Amino acid sequence: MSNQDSTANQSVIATTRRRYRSVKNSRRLGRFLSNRLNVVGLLFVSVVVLSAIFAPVIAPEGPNEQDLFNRLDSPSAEHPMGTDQLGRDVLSRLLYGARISLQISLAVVAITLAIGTAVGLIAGYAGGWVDEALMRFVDILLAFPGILLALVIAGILGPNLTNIMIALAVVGWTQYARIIRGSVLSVKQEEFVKAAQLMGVPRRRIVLRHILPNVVTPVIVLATMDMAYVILGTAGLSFLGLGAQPPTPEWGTMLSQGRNFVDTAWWVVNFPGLAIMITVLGFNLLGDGLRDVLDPRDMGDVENKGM
Amino acid sequence: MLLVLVGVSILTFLLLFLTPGDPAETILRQQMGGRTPSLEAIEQFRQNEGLNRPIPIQYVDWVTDVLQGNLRESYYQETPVSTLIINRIPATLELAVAGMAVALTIAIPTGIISAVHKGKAPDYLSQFAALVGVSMPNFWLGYILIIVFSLQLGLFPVAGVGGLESLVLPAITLGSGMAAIVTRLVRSSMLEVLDEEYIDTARSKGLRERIVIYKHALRNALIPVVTIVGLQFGYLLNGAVIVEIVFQRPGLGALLIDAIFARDYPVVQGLVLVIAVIFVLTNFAVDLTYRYIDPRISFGGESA
Amino acid sequence: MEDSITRRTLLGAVGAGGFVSIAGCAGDSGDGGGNDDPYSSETKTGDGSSTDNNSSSGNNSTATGGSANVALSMDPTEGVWQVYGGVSPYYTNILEPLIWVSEEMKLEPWLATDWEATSDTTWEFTLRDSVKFHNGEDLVAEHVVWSFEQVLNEWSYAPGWLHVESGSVTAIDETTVEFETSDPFPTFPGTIAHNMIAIQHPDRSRENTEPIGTGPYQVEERTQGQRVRTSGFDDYWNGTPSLDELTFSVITDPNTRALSLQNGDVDVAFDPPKSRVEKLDSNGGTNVTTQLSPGAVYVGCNIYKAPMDDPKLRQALNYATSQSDLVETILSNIGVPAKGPVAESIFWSAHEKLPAYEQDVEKAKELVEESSYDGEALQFHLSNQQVDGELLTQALQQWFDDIGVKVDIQVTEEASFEDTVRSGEPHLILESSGTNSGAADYLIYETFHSEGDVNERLYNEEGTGIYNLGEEVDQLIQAGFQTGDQAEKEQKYEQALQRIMEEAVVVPINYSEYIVAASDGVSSMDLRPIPEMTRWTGLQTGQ
Repeated sequence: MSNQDSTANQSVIATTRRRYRSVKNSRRLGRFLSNRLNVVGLLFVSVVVLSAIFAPVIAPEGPNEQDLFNRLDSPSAEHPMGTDQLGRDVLSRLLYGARISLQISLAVVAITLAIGTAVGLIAGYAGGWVDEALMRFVDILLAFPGILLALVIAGILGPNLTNIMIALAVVGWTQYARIIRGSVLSVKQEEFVKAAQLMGVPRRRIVLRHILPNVVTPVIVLATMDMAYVILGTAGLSFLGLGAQPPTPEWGTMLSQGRNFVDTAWWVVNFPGLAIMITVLGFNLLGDGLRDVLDPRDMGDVENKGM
Repeated sequence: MLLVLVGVSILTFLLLFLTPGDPAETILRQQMGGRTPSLEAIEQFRQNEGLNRPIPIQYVDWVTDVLQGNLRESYYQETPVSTLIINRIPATLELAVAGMAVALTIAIPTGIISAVHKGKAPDYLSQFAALVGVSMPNFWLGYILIIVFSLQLGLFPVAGVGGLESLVLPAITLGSGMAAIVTRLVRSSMLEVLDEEYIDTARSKGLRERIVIYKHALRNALIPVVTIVGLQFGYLLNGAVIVEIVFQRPGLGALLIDAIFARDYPVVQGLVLVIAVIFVLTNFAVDLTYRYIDPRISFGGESA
Repeated sequence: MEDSITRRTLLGAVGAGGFVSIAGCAGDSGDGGGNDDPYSSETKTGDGSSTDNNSSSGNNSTATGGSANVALSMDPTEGVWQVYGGVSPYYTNILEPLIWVSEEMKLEPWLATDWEATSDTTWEFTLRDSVKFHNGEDLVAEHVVWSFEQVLNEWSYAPGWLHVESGSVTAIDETTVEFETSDPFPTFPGTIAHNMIAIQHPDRSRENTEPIGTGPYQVEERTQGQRVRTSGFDDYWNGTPSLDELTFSVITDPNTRALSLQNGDVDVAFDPPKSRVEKLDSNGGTNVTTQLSPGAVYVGCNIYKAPMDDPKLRQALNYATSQSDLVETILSNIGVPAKGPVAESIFWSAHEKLPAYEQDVEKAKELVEESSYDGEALQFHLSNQQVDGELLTQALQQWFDDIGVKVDIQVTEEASFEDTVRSGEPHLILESSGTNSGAADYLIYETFHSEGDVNERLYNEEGTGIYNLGEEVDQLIQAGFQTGDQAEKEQKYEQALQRIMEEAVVVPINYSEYIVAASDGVSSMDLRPIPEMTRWTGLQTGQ
């Protein structure tokens, strides 16, 4: 892993100034939009965000309104996406579910970001034994099956949305810590940081003013993609029986609960599946787009997670 | 490296003891077909398994055993944990290799097309296609594959191990999840190589574009890809857990999940340790490969 | 194809002969047989020794050969089965106990033809003649003694469970075994009518995982975590197995199990998901059988946790619930609407005599008004292993909400679920009960007696409990548990259950049925209420 950091570091050095200079360059937006995929990603994400915001307005029914004797109805004018095992309107549940999915993703990403950034900055900037100790801890967590950690946390705290979020966050922050530490290490060598140090600028100020802005790009990209992986992770935990508590209309839980219907009441499982897919695709495309625009190369480390 | 293993094992120990659900009770209940064991039976079990002793002492005992090459026995059966793990390795290894092969099969062509036609329709299409796989929760993808390829087309068995045909669907399920990542790698690596001078040289010599791409660029582009892909093996287990459940493959992932839910502590501890060793070793191997490929790369003090 | 249609008729005719033959011991033996039950009064013929299946009636040509693959949710190669050479006696028929359990949940003479209580604490079992082990040797009393010793030494809980200590099983002669129980234990025969208490030959090998039993199929090959392949045992004492080869495969995921059947990878699949039942039944090529089991699903009310200590609230919840709606919709008509917590198939379930709480929303609302319920959300716990549990609890949540009672659902992982329940944390608990043996007494004892396992912890620590109503019910259960007389047992247990339902300690949901799906060629499946006791001897695949 270290090597990736170092390669990333080198390129970060190479691209930092260039990137920094062009922050205000509006061509960026043009470049971003010129890639159709980015537009598609933006579109997908917007659809999900809008659904979440306007769920109560658009949804034909409440997400938890049951109608046992009209369960598993196929899509119709009344229920455009059919009804589920308890006769609830699938479309309504999906719309409300968008809120929950986004909520979870945002929360997890925010927690991982906070922990990861803090640890990464401290390790990278402090160096020495602090760095050593923190990075060892990261190594340990990385070598640890995330699923076990998540299961134990869900087990101890009881499976519900908050605890799923904690579980995914505990598993997820290490990547940020590594990337940020790597970036900090390389930025630290930069002339302007050294200069600031010599001028007696306080450490906190150096970190905030000079280092943080320089490591922001990979983190933004990683965070965007993480939004996607959190949703997939929730679905995976649901499959293992550790999903959101019923009747929460969480997509992963809906998908997992409906998994026996793939070829019978296909709407019960495939619509939540599609919702997840579109969202994950959207965030991934967005992340790719951001990366290309902000930093076309060397984001190899920003990869692969999920359960 | 040793530190990581010690850390991982301590963490496992602590986590297991934090987990609610008494192993003695859980295991005896399971053995008794769902009936709850008597307090004496529970006490007896704890006594036998040394669960009454203070946690640090239990840990030291365990480490002592492990250092003598003894991963202990499962609570449920007399089989040594090491045997259980060894029995399960082939299924997971097979799945991991096949999954990786699928990922590469998808990723290399799409990555190349993407890079060569950068910014044009084929680039967008192949990037999009590669992302579809990773965007589907893998159990859903697994069931869909079963229904289409097993039930409707009758091409593959639904589940189990043995023979290539039972490996195809699980490998696709696992591999397509990774394809997007590898495609990204291939693409960016390819773009980088295509920028290099020697490619320009080759072009200026009048070589056909196709030859330039496949002979010169690809070879160089794939080296970093393959090494980074090697690293992903460490992560494959997470995906393998679900794929192994859906396709009923007796592998390490399924074993881990069963053991966690069944509170079979020796198996969980042994397995986590083995996984950590695999992880550390792959990291180490990749580090070495890097050094070999590019001696200029220097390492910080953190080679795991 | 005579043999495929005659199973039931023959079973009726041949099978009950066994019950007649043990009638003599019934008086003292407690739950020792079907003697007092209506079934034994039917006119039966038969030789009294052959109880298994159609092909046993002296006509060995019914054997059709062929092979079948049965998909189980459990792994027959894993678990605690070293004692039996590493293969599970559940489902597989490789090993057999002294007593089997019949279609009517009665004790069925098996390797023992007869048993009798010779005193309060001694039992004499007579073994069947000319039973052969897979290695060709005859079964004698010493083998039984040896087998029990194995079990008693292997499982620390076995002596407490069976009320038998190591050393108290003795061979009186070649065909008679005496058991001395540690205290008067009238349900001893029923308790050992259990797959786990199987008889095996001392030459079986733990190390090389080689079981030697007396069953119709013997192990050929086992692949850990995948399958056990068995072949028919020609010298089986109870008919000739009709298949050459029978394989038990483990497929833990219910959906995958059903899909494997649909795909023709397996011939029989236990417990497919209910959502696939219709598909499997209407599909050309497969069909579905359901069989009533001795299990029940109900909501338990923690009567020591306010506000559930108010019977009015508990009754209100009962009036809010429509069992038949649940069975008809969520359960796809699999299972029977319940009136009590004990399966109807158990003779003392009191099903007929229990108060009926028909769904009556108005009445329920009134009761809630009168009760001490203050609007606080009740914690409703269930295990994530409970099949259809999340759907049932959500439907109940809606109904309870309709009468003004708020409920929060908490799904927990199985191991922590049991812990949470016993600590008395939840208000409501989705429970499912059942038995794997011929003795069902513990179903009522462990759940509703103050010293039963659910209540024990809190009862001893704080003098409370979970589902135990107290002294009166305890005494009724105690009396029923200790009597050997069927009628008295029935009467005591019924009284206890009536009290339990009057006080609305539970909200019954359904008596369980289990589902077995098979390809159309499969016939003569001999399902038993206890699914693990399914007989395979007569199974045919029509190939």
